[in-house]
Amino acid sequence: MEEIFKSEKWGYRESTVITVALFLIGVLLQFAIPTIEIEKLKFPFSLAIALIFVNAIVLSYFGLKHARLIQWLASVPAAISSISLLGILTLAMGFIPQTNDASNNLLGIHNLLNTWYFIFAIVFFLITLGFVSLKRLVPFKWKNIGFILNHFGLWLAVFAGIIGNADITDVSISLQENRTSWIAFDKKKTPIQLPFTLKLLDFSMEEYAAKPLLIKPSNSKTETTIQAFIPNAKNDSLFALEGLQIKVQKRLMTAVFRKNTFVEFDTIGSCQAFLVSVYDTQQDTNYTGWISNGSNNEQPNMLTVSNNRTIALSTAEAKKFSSNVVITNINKEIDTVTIEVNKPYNMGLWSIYQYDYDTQKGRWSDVSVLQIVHDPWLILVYIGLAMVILGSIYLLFTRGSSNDNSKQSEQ
Amino acid sequence: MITWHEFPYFAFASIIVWLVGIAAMYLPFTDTFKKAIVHISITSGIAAHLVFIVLFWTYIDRPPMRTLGETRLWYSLLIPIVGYLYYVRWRYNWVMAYSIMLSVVFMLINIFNPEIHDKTLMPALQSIWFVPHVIVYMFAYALLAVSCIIAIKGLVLLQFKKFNPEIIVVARSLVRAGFAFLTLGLLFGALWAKEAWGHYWTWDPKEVWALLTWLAYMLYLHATYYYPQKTKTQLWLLAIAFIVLLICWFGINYLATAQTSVHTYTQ
Repeated sequence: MEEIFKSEKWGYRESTVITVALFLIGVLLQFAIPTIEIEKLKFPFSLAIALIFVNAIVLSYFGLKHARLIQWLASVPAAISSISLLGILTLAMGFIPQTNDASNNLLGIHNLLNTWYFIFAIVFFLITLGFVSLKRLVPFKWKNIGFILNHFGLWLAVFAGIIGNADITDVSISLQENRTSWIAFDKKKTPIQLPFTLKLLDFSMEEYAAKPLLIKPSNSKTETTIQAFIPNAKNDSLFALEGLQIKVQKRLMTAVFRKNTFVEFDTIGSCQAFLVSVYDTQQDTNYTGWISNGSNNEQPNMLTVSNNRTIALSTAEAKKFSSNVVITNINKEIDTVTIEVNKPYNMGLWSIYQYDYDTQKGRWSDVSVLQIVHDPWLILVYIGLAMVILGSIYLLFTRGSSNDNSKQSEQ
Repeated sequence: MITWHEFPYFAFASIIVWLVGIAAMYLPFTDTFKKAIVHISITSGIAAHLVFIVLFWTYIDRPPMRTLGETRLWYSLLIPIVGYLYYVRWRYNWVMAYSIMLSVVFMLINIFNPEIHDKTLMPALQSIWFVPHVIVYMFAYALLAVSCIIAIKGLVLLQFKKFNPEIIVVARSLVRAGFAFLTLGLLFGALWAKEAWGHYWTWDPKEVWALLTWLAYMLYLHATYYYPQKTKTQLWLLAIAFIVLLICWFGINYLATAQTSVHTYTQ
């Protein structure tokens, strides 16, 4: 015990030894107990762990302030060690494909997030970050504000994110048009009852204009986009490619094939069809015809030109899709909302996202899949992130602290 | 109508005036004359490139930030701006010369190997976060590229025993700003991901590499703070951190781990 209370500080040599030891213990533990079920640490255990962790840091910091171990944990060498350990494990994650498949998973390298050594690394990171935040928080000085925003903010975001992970409800619900439902399913297909009901009024989707393609028979890379960087080929657009002058004469966004031609008709199974005329400048010949991208009901149509080349129309890409939904909550309050990709609907701690639809039916899908997320710890994470954002802005508008300053604070 | 077909005209215009500006720095002109030429030519080269980006943006009707070629466009705009600001602030001729050289390389890649597949903006990318996320990242990459140039220069000078300690100061100030932008880019990405996919962090391969890049520069900042005298280690750290950054930016398209990433631009 005497040793630990000596004032001589631990440097990078001690830091390296401790970090490597920590990692090795994690590896051994991984070998002994290969499966960890972190996802079972839900509320109230998550809250208990959070309180114990914070208590342990605060009490040991103030109670054992002069202990060498505590001083070391609040020092830059410990920070460098924990950043390095986390960095090395992240590097491994960057090269080794991560799967949830349990087989052929020696020491958890294909599922690093759920290994003992990764948990040790992140806890080590949180401990050093926690101590160093406390060191500058108490006593509070305005000149430390940038440091506190960056360090304490990061600590709060990572801590709440990790502790709160098990408490996240992430489910999806498949809604049929005009039917009401409140049973969603999680990733393991377990049914979960929602505290509100959802009724899909309408699913709607907008498409981008399809792109004419030039297909050549000889080349292995067969497709060439003619319309590079023209998202909306207007009528009368003219393109030149490989000696061909291609003109879009007419563009129908919802077309059906009737009596040997395409006509505009917005119905289930309609497709996009362009009337194009092609002039071959080398052979001085003209071609005119319809190209279309087809659908469940319609055959795709192509136009053959010189040298066995054909002009086809690409499949249309989704521009926008959304669901019109009636939500009834437990208080019987009714709300009609539109939920779109990137525009979730928020209701207290619940967020509802547009997730999927019946891709076979595309625009005419009568099914919409919504993702529903409930994250009670999110507010803490966001407070942490907001602090780090302010801290970054602080970094931009101030000059770095001099080294004299750093030595002073190390003493 | 401004498309990639018109890019070479703008690019060569920028490249020529930039070369004039750099040449002027090293020619025996009078000081005022030299300054005038440098400032006019560097800023007009940047302006020409900016004009192209603005016209191109209006023409394609979406932010040009979707393909790798388009991100290179921003990079070759922002690096000379960083170099120019450092020239104005620190009178560093060579920082500006190198950053313009780097920009020219990226412009030439776009001229000779343009990645001009038409990428429509899928719904997940239609977000108010799209532009700030990419611009902030590109600005970080530009600052950190210049820090890498300085680190390499420092390592060479160390070898020839001509090291100037000011290099350390400049490198650190660049990384400080670069790291701030890197953090903003990462967090804007997280906030966007929450809006689009319901989670702020999903360990997507690009996220893993972005985290790694961030940790590498975080390590550098802490190391320079605690071990200011270890010059060589610092410079090596900077050079290596930039390699991680490059893998994160485009090397990721070739990694086995990244085939399912939402950030791959090549499919």
